[in-house]
Amino acid sequence: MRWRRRIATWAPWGMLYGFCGLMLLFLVAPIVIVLLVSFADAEFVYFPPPGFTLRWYAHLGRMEGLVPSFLLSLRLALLVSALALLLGTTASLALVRYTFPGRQWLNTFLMSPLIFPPIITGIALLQFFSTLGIRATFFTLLVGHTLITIPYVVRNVTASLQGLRSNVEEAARLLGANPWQTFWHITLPLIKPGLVAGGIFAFITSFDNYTISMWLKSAEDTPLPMRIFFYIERVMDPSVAAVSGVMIVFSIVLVIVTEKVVGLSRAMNV
Amino acid sequence: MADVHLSQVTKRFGKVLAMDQISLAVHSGEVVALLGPSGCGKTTTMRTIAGLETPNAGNIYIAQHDMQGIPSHKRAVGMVFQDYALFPHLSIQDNIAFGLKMRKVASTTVRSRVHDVLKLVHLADLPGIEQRYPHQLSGGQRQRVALARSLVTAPQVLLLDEPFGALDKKLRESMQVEVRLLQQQLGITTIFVTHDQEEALTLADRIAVMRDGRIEQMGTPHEVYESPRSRFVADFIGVSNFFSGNVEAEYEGGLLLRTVHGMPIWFKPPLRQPLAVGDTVQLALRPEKVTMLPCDDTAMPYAPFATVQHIVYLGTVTHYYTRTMQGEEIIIYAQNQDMGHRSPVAVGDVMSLSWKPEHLLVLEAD
Repeated sequence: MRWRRRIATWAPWGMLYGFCGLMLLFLVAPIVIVLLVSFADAEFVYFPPPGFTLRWYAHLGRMEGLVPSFLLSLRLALLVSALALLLGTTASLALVRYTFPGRQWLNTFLMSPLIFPPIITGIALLQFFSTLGIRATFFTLLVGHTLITIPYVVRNVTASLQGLRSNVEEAARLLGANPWQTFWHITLPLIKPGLVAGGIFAFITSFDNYTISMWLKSAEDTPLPMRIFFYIERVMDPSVAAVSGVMIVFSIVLVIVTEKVVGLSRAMNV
Repeated sequence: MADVHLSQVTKRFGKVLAMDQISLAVHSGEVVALLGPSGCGKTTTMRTIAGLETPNAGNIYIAQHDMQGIPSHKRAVGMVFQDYALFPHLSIQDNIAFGLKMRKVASTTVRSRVHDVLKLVHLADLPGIEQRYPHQLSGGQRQRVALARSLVTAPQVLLLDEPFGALDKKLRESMQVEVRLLQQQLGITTIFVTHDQEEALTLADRIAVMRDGRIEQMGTPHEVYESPRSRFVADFIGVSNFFSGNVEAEYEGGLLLRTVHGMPIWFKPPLRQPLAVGDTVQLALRPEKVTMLPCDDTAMPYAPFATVQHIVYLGTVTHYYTRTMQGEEIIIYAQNQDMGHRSPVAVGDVMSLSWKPEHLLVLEAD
């Protein structure tokens, strides 16, 4: 009888932990495998690795066009996040603070890049630019990426603004702050979690975008995701895994920085 | 200090008329309560004074200056919000200093001014208060900080929006006294919004009783309590017994009213309210103005007899719910004094009720 009661007590917990463990394994296992492969002492992507070496990391510098592509993607993602934050935040302010005809419609419109298949958005933008006679350059990439990252900023900033009690702004006004000072000293610091989260989403979305870049990139500029893809098409050696390894470390650093600056759970609105 | 003057101010929200041609004069250094049920326009009235709402018509003057087109941040009006609206991301020091920084006051002056105002609201003795954040304070402390923040810039007018609503009863009462003393010390013109009649009576020099976007009556606490103009005011401030009916006859220098339930009441209308036989009248009678005596010792003409139906004992007073033979329900508040040899009143006892005729208040028709 006692063992039966013991099972009844522990079975739900066992199932919960088991389920969570499996979920984590499912999420983390590919990353772990990629990291292991990047150290593999083999000529091809091979698992389990027969031995360990750092030579694929050393090889990165010699990969054709890798460093320029990385710098291009970094520059692009930084500019895109800044632009998306500026446009998205102002749009959120309009959506949250004012009621005007077509407000709901505008909201749906701003969210539409999330619903539209990016490949369609890419073709549409390409046609749009070529009709206007604009050649594919860094600028066209910037416009395309900003368009698809604005929804992330709008979503996060809107959530933050809705959580903000409007009377703290009124209190600031009555204490002598003009509308701009109120925004700068009160509103902006209080919606910071939304800005950080929106900015990170925008950065990541731009940094690993392939489908939009594919249509809008110029002949000489190749963003990192496309560079990696081109490389895989030709050779399948562990240097690609090494690139992934660098990106994983890069992401972890980003997560740590966010945690230090605002606290990750606050930034993600959970 | 400054006076505040509203002239025919109207404010609409869509179809809702929140302020219907409100005129109001608040003297310099005075405390006025805007009292009324929710939706009566009291908060809107305060917000238009602060410049947080723009009136559709009418003018607002602060210290004789027309406020039209003058934004909130240039009005020299301090306001304490119902939920205090402290800045959650700023320390107490920075919360209070905010107004001074916006005015570009030198940082050394800021320090001393913040300290002075913390002393004023009795928070200076709390160690490290300046470095704490709003969420680390209790409700009462937060309110003191909100008060300090609004006073530090020495505004001409102080607005308080349901300032004590979030505090428990004991704390509320002590804060009310404290705010009143502080106001008298500073002599600052103060307008506050409340739905709590007791709070209005405690704090205000004058009370404006509001209803449906209009001021129903304005006067000292004594005036609005002792001579309410309408049934609404008599009902909203304190508790009243109401009698309505027709004037039946003149009798002994007064008039005789026959209530709808058929109870005769003798009363003397004041000179400003001339009444004639046949007029419809509504009377109010405060429960504490009614005396209850055993049946045999009656004290006034047409003294009604009433049966005690329910008794609520509240320590200092007892409330008796009675019903007259004609069916009028009358509430009586009696001080609990030494009853001597008399046996206490019990449910079912028939008593004789009496009151002074001047305590019957003649109300204006609604």
